[in-house]
Amino acid sequence: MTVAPPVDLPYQIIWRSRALRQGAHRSTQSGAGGLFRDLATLLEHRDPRRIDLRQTLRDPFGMLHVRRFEERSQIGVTLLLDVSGSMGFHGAARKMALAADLAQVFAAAARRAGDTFALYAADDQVHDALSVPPTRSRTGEETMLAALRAYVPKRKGASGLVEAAGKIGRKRSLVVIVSDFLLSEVQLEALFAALSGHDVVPIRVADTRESATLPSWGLFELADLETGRRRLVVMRPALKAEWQRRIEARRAFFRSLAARHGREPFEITDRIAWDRLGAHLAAGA
Amino acid sequence: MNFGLSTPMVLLLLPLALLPLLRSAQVPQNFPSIEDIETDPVSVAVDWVLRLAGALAITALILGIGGLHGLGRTIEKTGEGAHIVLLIDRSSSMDNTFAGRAPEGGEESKSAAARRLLKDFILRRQHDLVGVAAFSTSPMHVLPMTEHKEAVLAAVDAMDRPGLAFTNVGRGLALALDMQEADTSPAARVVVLVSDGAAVIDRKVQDALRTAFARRPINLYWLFLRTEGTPGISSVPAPGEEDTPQAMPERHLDRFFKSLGISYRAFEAENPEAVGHAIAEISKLERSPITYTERIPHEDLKGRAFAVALVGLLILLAAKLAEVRLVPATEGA
Amino acid sequence: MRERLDDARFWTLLAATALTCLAILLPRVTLTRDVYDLLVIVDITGSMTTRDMSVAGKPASRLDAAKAALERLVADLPCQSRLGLGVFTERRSFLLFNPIDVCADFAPLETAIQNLDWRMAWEGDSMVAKGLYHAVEIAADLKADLVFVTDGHEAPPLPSGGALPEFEGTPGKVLGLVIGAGGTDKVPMPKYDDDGNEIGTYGPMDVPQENHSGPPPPDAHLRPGYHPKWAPFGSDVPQGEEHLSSVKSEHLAAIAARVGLAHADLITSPDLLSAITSNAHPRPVEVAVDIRPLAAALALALLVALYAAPLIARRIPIGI
Repeated sequence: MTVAPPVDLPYQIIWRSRALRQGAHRSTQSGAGGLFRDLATLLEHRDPRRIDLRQTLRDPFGMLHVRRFEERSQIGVTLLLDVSGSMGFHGAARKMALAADLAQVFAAAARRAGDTFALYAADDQVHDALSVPPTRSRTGEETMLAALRAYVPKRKGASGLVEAAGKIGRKRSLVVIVSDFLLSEVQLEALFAALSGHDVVPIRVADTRESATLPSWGLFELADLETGRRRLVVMRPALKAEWQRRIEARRAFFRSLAARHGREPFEITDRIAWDRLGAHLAAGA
Repeated sequence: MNFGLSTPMVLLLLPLALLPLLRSAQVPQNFPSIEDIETDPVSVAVDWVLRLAGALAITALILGIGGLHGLGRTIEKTGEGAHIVLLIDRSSSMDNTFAGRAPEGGEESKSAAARRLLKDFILRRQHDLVGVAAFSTSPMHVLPMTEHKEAVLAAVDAMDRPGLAFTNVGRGLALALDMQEADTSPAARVVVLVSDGAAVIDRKVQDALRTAFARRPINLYWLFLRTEGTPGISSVPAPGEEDTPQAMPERHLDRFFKSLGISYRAFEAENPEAVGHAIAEISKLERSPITYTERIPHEDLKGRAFAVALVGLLILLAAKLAEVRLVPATEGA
Repeated sequence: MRERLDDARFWTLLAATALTCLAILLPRVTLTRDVYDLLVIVDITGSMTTRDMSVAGKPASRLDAAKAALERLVADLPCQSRLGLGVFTERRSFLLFNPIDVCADFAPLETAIQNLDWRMAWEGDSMVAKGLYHAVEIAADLKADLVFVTDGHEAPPLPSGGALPEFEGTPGKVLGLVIGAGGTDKVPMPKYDDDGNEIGTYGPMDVPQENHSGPPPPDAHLRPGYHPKWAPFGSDVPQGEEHLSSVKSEHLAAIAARVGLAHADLITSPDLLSAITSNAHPRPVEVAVDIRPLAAALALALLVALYAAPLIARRIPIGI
């Protein structure tokens, strides 16, 4: 099993939240406390308590200057979770278990930061039973996690992810996508396009058993988790190399697409390196 | 070669052979996505080999269980022989010896002697088709034309049972001709009449026989088992005696046969040796080419069917041994 | 290898392969089977042409029904059984051929049965009891059991009092069956001319209604016109139903019992084989039985299960 998730996962954003509500993130709201942002005349910012004497005196026109401070605002954190058939893969680890761990940690981190947390689970449609609407409450978190851990993905497709992207709202928020990203190129592009207004953190869940540690020789019958189609494979080094080349090509396409739309994707293979994930999120870029 | 099944009902099981085409014997292993991995021709070929091996094994087992065999064939061969109808007199006088007494001690009745020699004759004639008819008061169809020697021997064996009262040669001959008529092959046709006497043939029956004999060539042999001291075929009436069929039936029957214009020979035998000579003579004469059928017994192909099934199973077993797991079973949760 | 040992499919396949090997290698097993040697004597007298039976749903004469039953018997008898054929008319049974193998010589045997014809009869009389005694004699000589097919119609009728003729053999030495052919209702018998053409049916005056060959019945002196010397049977035209015929089951049972045979009627027990197997001397023979298909059947069952089980229980993964 994976290492027990740490309680907190501080995440950073490099943009300013427009939310009015106070929070832990940089904001477009200016207020009385927090980081110094700029100076304004009293006419612009009618808060005589924050008159900056030094600037006022320095002003040859004798305008009264007031110091403006940046308010800390909250943001919305949304986890888009791919629960299509392929996420049911159980190789070196259960992909759904990894996804549930991530959900647990992000939910806790968002709560701690005072942000809202929402989760949308989707395959070819959004699963309302698994999804959680934006909330700051802890109520329902246990139920959500239990449901996620128990869920056995069976349906195909990931078009529901695009649908879920539409539910997030127009206000810029942090969107974490947890998926194996085994979507078609068209679907991938549609998904990133739908999320273009948000800060997107793609987390790709992979497994060594589906690529790196494939046997070099042998016979096996594969059953596609999405389509149920079967295929007999006579594995040999040449074919294995070919497979790995294809898988790598797919991954490369995804990485370049993700980078174009925002953050570099974070990749999880078999187990979640929490410290690296923390660093990745803290970097904010 | 044609094939047959002892239990054709097993063919109802044949759809089972489609099962391997639907599902393989390998353990399906889940994989996230195989959709964009191109199919590999080697794998596809091996896949079909395995499916067909499974279908082959099931089919071969079903056919083997059903008792697959190569049908017995009959090959036409050419040999020497004829299609013979034995027309046997079963009147009670046949039960006597050649001396005209009831057999006693080591003596052999006429029918017993004839039976012994006829059986010998049948056994030596390999390719003949033989039918048996009997006559006494009425004609009796005994055995159809057959190549089953055992059956013919059994019919000849029955001839020394006590017979009936009269000798109705005419109707007997008509029956023998009927039996030859039913046979359409171009083989030489022979009627061997075995009797110890003759009788008057009705005018009507005579005419019928004449037309029947005229219709197709038939070689007629009359093996006349003459009792010592009775008039024979070649006896001429003593002066003053009547020369009528009633008085001298043998002489007149012989004349009737000669008048038919067919290949006809009469053998007059007064003792078992003479009967033997006559039969040997008939055997010598009837050596025209004949197409006969030789049966090739049906060949049991069960073993071969099972061997084919074994080949299929070994292929499947080899595939099973080559099977690997992406995820070792020991890691199953 | 560890997975392989856990894989039910592997073991199923291995077992099927082993069984198929066994199916190739198994030798034949010798078993003992009972076969029968039979002499079949068929009544071909005129009364047997009475059409009061049916074959395959169509009306048929007693003789045709008997022939159909015999053909089936020949096909049903176990191989290596032997069957000889004879006919009965007048007072004698006439052997056509000695018993021959019902399998090896099936074709001529079947044709010979089909060729049985009432025209082979040499006399109009039908003394069934005497014919049966004679048949028993022949069967004893052939060391076979007897199947005697008749309608039991005695012509002329048995002397008054119904006393059966004496049987001189040993009852029970020859086993077998007397089979009654014919319906239970009295029906008129067809009549034929010398050339074998049917010319109507027998009337009461066409057949002897009474047996005049023995002593007259004790009450004959009561008959009109009785005279001890000139008219010991009376002077009236005898009345009777001897021109009508039905299967005489009671009579057949009586004469069968006299010679130690069983009796069955064709209309009530059309399956001759079971009646014969329980009433004839079995002759044990050794036959080689091929048991290879048994092993192959097991292999087939395993192989089919291997493929069909996942289809039936689709959701249950095998070997995990």
